Amino acid sequence: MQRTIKTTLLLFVMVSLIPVSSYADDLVEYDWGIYLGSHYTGSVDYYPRAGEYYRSNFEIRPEVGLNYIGTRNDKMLKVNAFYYDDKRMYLNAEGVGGDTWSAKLSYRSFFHRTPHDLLENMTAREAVDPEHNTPGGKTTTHQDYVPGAQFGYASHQVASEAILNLIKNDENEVKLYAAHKSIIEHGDKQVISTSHCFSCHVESHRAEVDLYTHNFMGGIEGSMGPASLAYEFGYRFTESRVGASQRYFDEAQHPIQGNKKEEFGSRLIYDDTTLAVEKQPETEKYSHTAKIKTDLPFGALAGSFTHARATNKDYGLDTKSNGGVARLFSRLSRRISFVGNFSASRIKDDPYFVDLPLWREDRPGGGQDFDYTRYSSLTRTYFSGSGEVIYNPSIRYRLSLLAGYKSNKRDDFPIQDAEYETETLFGQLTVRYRPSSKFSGSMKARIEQTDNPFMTVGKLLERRMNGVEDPITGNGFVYYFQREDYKYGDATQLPTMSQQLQFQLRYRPARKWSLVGGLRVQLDKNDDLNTIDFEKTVLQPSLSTTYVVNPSWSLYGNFTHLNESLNAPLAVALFDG
Amino acid sequence: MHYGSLMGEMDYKTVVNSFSAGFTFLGIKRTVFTVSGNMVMGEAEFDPVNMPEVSDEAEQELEAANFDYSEVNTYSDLSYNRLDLTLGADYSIDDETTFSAELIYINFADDEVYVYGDQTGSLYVIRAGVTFGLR
Amino acid sequence: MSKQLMSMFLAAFVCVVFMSHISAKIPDDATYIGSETCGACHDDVAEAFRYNVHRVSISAWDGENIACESCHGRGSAHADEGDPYLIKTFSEEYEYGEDNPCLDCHEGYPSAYLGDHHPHIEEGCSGCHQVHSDTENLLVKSEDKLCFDCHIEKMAEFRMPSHHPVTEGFMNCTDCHAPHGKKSVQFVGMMSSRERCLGCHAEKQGPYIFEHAPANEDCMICHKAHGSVADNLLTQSEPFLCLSCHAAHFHSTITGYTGSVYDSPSPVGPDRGGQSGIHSFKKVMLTKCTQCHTQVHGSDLPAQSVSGQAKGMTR
Repeated sequence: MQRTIKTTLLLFVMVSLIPVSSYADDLVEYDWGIYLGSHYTGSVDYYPRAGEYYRSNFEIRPEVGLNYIGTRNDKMLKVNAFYYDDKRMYLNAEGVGGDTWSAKLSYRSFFHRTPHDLLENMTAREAVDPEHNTPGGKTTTHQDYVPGAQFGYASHQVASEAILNLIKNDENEVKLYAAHKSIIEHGDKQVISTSHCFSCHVESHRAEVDLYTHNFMGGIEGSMGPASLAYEFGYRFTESRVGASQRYFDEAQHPIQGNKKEEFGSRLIYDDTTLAVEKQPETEKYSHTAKIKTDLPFGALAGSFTHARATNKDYGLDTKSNGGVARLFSRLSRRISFVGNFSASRIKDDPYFVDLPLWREDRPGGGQDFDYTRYSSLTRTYFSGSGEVIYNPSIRYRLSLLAGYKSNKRDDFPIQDAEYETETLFGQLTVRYRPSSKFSGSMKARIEQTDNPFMTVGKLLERRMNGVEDPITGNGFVYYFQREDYKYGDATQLPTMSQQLQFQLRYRPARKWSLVGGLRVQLDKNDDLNTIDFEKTVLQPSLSTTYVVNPSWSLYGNFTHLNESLNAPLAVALFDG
Repeated sequence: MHYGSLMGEMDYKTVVNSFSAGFTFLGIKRTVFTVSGNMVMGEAEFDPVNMPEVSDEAEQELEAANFDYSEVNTYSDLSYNRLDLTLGADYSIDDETTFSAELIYINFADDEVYVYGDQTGSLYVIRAGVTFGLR
Repeated sequence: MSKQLMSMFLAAFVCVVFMSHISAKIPDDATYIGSETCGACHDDVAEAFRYNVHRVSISAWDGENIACESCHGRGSAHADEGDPYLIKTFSEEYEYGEDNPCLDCHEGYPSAYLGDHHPHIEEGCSGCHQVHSDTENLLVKSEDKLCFDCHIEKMAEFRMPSHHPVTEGFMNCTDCHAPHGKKSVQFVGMMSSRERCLGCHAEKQGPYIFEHAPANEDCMICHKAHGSVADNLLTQSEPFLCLSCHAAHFHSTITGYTGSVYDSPSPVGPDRGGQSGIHSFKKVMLTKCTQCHTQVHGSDLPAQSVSGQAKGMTR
């Protein structure tokens, strides 16, 4: 595939280099430039992080660049390409044929290093009698099968678009358009997996990356006088062309009682076997969108409706969504406008039945069935509506006031049929002020009040179990799953009240000197949790200046500071399981 | 045995200071010099956690347990400094031909080793080339 | 003398102010003269305009290029008399609001009315575009520099230790943002920000059998879009981020044995050694949760525990 891409691009460059052939009366102009150079990359100490997007090869490598631009009558071709190395290059090409057609093609690639987790913290053994440092059975161990390996992948992105105007005159317009974008990632990565067949053993392996994502979009748009209609089709699919990484999962043993596979193995879905890990499913997504826009005597109205279906092809799972958006612009007076936004959508994810082996089958008190149907947290109904009044007393001032409401009702989160609904009211005031060419400023203040933000509901803490209230026949142990009924406590980083304030001032004391200062402040709070009072503050001032000393000298400088603080619970069960 | 939950509170802070500066100088005939530099200092960590006292009963029954969480905040401290420096020069040999040279230097300092080991190091790139233009 | 000069300057100033508010009056009998004629006087503009997309796309080609006059109006009277008020010019006010001449052709940007990105609403299109240039998308400067002129704090975020490669030149602001406002309604409602991420990171689309609810909800619950100190663009580093919603693993209370994990040879396989200490289980459980729960975006492969209903997202 990469060879095909490179060959195609090379051919494209060669074709584009051919001077535009001309006829006697044609108006032909073209310019081109070529860059020939080289680079040397070196490093000191550990370079993969400093050179996250570079390859340190200690060699001199050639570079080639090309610029071409040419016109003939009403046609134009532009090509801009650069080769840095075989994993880093770009090409941009654009063609225009009068007002009839236009097309664009772009390609870019870069190399990205990803870090290597050494897993050095993954070593532990319990002390069953800490006072006498007596070793116990629970352990965590790790094995890095690729020590010293450096991981990374080359990302190749190819995009194209074409527009063909079938009809174009003062009154009517019909155009076809199509676009495509592919992202190909090729290289390697670290795959970490854990076997806890008795104690935990974490392994690190190298895995090949060969991931393909393709997006296609096409549509037709027609305008008749003040109204326009459009239909758009979208398709996306992703596939990995290498098999999933495999690892061996240990034979089950009881961590304390030793080699009793029947006791511990009967709690596991699999052991003593080699299985795939970190396998991403092949996926696709279709979308169909109809759009409408019309000018109105007092403004304009635009709307769309989309039906989409995303599929996990490995398991035939679908996410279906239907939704619409409408926007109304109304000029209430010469200086006052109103913008209304409305959207509603329904997203439904397929449920999936998870079939599990019986728990501790043939063991005392065992045989429980943990099969269940997974209902998705994605299944939901969404609605939002907002109105914005914009007041423009003159070009120098703008003031807008926005208010809105949005709701997100989830069918099956946190539990099936619970209909957990998040509702948000928001308001925003924006002021922009430009009294002179020397000075301008803007301010945005936003407040959001949310009921039931997305959170972990009732899972953070555990009530004390006074013995085992519902003991398993045959033994008095407390098993992990029995704690589920004793859980409570909500947790989230999402606020019930969020206040944001943003300023920016631009000042030009002299023609040669400009200053821009900004400040962002955010205060988030959630005191509705039954665990902690969550608070988050963000303070981000920035300052930038440019000074043109004379036509030969120009200087600039920027400073930005970010201070973000927040709190969270640290909860742990007191349980010797 | 099961004695409920223990809960403390953590305070997390991210602090970043970012500086950029540069200049362009066209002082010498047919030559343009550019210099740009960026320095970013970022820290992200949470404060030591104070867990509440465990009940005597739980402490006795769970005698093999360790409830000292006072150092867990240190396992994931992050402190990075990054410097990017670029020096460039273009010399116009004639109206159609320009010679360019560039030096890129990146230094990454990892002051708190996380799971990736010490990532401190530098990388530099030296580039030179000629642009030909034709009309 | 100085009074006379002052008077002249004042008169000139008044005239300029007064005249600047007079609209162009192109005679009805004015005709097209072609862009070459325009270029004879406006040679600096013509040079920049040579490879401008408007020159070919709105030329109304009929053996003669009339691209200039497509926007500025028929130019014969202006060319004959040299009077600037016999041709249409575009001041800041002209570009502003409903009189914006760019929208005569670029009506496909309904966001000009409905959008929410301020420069083209308040400063006109020329806040970002130089209409006569031959630059990419006719921008006045490269895209990142243009955006960072106003969004200084975003530039700083793109230089943080973990960031999308915008300052490296491998991404553009417009890969994620629609600079003319919300013109696209391809993806609906609440899904839009997640869908925007999935446009490039489609392998995380799912739907998965074993889900992580926040990954379905909004990528921005755990990630920052521009840059972060924490790795992988996380809002905070692990385990803090995970512990914001989840309890710590209860095995973090285990006191560690001080000594070798296994006496040699290991009963469970080679190379499973290493040194344990009192706090080793805390280091295992409270350093980086994704060392074990690697599939935090969702998985189709079951974790090992039956009673955990295979939901651990370790595979």
